[in-house]
Amino acid sequence: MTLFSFINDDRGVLEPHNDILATALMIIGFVVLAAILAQTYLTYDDNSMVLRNYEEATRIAENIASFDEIQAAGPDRISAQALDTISYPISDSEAHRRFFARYADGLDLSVHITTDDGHHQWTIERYSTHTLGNNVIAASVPVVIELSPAEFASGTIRVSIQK
Amino acid sequence: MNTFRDLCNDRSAWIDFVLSKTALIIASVILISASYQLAQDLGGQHMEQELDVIALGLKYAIDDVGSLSYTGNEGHTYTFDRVDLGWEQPIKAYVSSEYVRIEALHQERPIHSVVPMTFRMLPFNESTLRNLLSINFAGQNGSMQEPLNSDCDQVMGTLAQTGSWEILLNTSKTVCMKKTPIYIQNNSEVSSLDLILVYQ
Repeated sequence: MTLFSFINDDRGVLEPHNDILATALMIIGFVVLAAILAQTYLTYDDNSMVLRNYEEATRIAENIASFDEIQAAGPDRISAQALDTISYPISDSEAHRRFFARYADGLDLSVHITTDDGHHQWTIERYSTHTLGNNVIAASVPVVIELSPAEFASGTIRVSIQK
Repeated sequence: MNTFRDLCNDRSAWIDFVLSKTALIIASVILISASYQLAQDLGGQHMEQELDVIALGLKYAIDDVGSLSYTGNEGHTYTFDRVDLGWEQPIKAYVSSEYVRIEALHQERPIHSVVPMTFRMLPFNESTLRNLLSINFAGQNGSMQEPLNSDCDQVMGTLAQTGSWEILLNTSKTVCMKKTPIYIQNNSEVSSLDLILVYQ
């Protein structure tokens, strides 16, 4: 009933201000459009950056898995003994530096290697001041770890990049 | 005085008309300016993304060489294939040991795309590298026959200093990339440090 009386109101109260109302609607529409475009761009930018960083982390993880100095005697296996020397607490600082020497200085890397059963784990951090903040991208690759010449375990190399 | 009284008693609402139309004109001008600016910004973003694509193309090519598990004389090349997309001036590509930077002009304003490197890289060829090592490490050039008698930190520090210069690449020429080892002798142990060389 209210709507009916409203649309049949012939007094023309709104008539002189039609153009203002139309402009207000247009401005609101423009602001909404600009907000949607900005949000879409920011989301796209964030997602593409995350994807790029993830690819980078995966590439580093694969590179570490094939790094000569931590390879065991057998093919495609990582030596737990080599990991012991460069992971925390570091017993061979020169080997630790060589481990990260292939990567650009600005790359803040942290590498966690664990066996699937969780019994063994190694943490290798590039910088002692490494602190995990909000922008960390991580990627993992599966590896086989040679715990001793007669014992092997499947595990994972997880590389975290601080951005 | 009469004029002011007439103005106050004038019921033809002309001032209402003038004010509302002026406000509409101002609002329209602001709206059109904002639309124009938005279109300009989107165009600028598009150009920056184009530069990102070019910079990432070179970075990924270098990363591909860095990911290889072998070193040696295998030559890898990269060609800039998106540099003729209607830029006001030819784009400029710079590399240093830390980043790739692409620069272009958009509406007479320089825009950049900077991509940090993943692998350690030096922007010169192998003979320059060996000469630099010879100068800095008592004649030892870091080859397998002449390993550097030093530690990893000192070698990396020297390389970081020499490689931090930006080198301008010619985007119409092919970029060569090579992974090469530097051998370091620490006491009786000889180890290698892999580097990527980028040059033209």
